[in-house]
Amino acid sequence: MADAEFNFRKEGAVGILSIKGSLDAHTTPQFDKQIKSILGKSSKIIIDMEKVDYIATAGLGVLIASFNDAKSAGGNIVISGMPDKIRHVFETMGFTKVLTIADSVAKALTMLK
Amino acid sequence: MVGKLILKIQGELSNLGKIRSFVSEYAVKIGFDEIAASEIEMAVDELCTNIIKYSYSYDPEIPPGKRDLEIELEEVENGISISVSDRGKPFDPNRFPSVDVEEHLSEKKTHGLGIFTMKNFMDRITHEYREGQGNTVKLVKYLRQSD
Repeated sequence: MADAEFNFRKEGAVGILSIKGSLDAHTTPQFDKQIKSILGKSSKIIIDMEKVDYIATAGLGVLIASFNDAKSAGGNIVISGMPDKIRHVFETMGFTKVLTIADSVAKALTMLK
Repeated sequence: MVGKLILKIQGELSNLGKIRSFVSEYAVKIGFDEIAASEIEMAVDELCTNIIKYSYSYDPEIPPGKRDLEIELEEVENGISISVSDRGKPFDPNRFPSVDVEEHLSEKKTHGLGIFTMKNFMDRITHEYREGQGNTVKLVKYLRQSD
């Protein structure tokens, strides 16, 4: 799967972005646009990565930038549902020490409420 | 032994998915587990992304139709060898210093992580540049007992 699909919904004050597909250098500009648009509406965001099959450093860069923007606005970004191979990349790069990770969207919602 | 495979493809970001599938399917056939295969696909993806974004895009001497990539996969003793050839200007990943990821992230920086990925996920990286022909970067990874 080489493309990415984005679906956004709100649960109260929390914005939830579900992503399906690959976040590589080709699709990262779409991801950047989506997350910037959401940050304009909410600073509490869940990024549901359950159906993400690949993330490149370009995608990780967008995540870090968005996380900083959300924190500056008094909110947070929680990443949920990462498959094992995506979690392995996050751990290797040290992103698990910086970003907030949850097993599921339900747990992420609890963390943000 | 799995036979040698070659993919010749235009150096465009929209082809990264095809390149990753080509590489990871071969790695799994050789015996790498899902995590090790994902490390290999990420190292190749980051290398190809660097070539496409920073070598081909800024080189007007190479017209878009000639910005091709050749990816050769070969099973070697107890591992995989991946050679990525391009027609761009000299680019040797070994000449870029490894970043300190923790320090990098604490300063909210993310550039340079592609090179870190290649060096961290692969066991050996060699580079060759031939005048008038371009670069060949060879990435090698060996099977671990857990694979």
